[in-house]
Amino acid sequence: MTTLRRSIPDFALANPIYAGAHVSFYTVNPSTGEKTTTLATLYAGATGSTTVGNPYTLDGEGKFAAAVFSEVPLVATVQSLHVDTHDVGPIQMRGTHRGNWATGTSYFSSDTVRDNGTDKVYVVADDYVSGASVAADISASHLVLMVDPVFAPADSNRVAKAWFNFNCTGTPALRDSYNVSSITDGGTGIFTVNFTVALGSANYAVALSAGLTTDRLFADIGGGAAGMVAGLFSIVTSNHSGALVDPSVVTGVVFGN
Amino acid sequence: MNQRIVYTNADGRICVVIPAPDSGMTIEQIAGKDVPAGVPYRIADAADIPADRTFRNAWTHDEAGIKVDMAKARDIHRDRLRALRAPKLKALDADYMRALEAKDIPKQADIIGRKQALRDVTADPAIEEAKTPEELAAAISKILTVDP
Repeated sequence: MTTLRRSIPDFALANPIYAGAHVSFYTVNPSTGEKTTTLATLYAGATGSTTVGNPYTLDGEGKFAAAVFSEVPLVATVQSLHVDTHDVGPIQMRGTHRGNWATGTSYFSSDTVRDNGTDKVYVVADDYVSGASVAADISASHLVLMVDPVFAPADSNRVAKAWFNFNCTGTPALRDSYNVSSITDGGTGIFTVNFTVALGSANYAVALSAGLTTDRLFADIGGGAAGMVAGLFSIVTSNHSGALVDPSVVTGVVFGN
Repeated sequence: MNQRIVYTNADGRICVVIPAPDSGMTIEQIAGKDVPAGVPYRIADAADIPADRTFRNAWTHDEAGIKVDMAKARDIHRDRLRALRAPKLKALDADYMRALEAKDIPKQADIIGRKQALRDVTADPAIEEAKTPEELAAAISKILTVDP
């Protein structure tokens, strides 16, 4: 098992009031969370045995001259010419997001990892080296589910199957779309949306809107249910008088199987 | 994709297929999928499709391109004139009732004359005389363009 050793995030960025400050890094009592009187061992790298002096003198910009690492939680006591002596911390080495889960990797309790296959996020229950699969680590109680995304791939019916935005004043054109191969202009206020990949059935749902700079318009399914088939559907756009008119914008989204 | 597919549907309407720019399909593939089976079609440059849609429902097409059927366009134009005069006739109806209640005979006669003029706008000779869509679109009696 690899020992947990992480770079200390505090004092990594310049802070003028800490210029030349002396910082003492103390270990933390795991029971009380308070600092002890024991100076922690600081390291120069993520691995290896090269240590860094403790107390540490920050550089002229008030930061570490180079990354400093620790294997344990810390409380830092800062002595500076510009501010009163004070404590910073506890500085935790645990609880960071480690990105996509990978096999054969050292994880530490409170880390979080993402399963790239399901988008689920897990919290690590203990210090361990990952096994052959996420499922195996879950089974061994190393990983506990933290986030189960709503839009998981297995629930694709919640994702729009098509959408579009087109204009029909002047030269009609599709501004942008998804899963739409073309729009058929069938006359004033009469259009057909043709899907690139047909839906699984004609029983899908469509939400439409239409507008014109000079008027408020209605957008409806042309021909009712008969105007919807798996590969296309019809739209009619009209004004308050019921007259078919050409809109300057028609938008729609389609959900279905 | 600056091309369009033009065909006539079963109702006799001219349909113009506008490809999605990012469909990943060729114009021929889109025609094969989105034009009703067995219906002849023509691929045209987008620039050859009229941008003026005033008489969109009067469009016809042949190998030379899209044209406006003037007989159909006149019907469309008359429908527009009827829509324009409707609120004016309604307002004159109200004015006439007031004149009737006031027993204002000259006012009644004036309103009757104006209503008749509105009824006659669809018989304006300029409509039949128009040789082009532009001339037809301009054939609007002044009574429809002034307030009230």
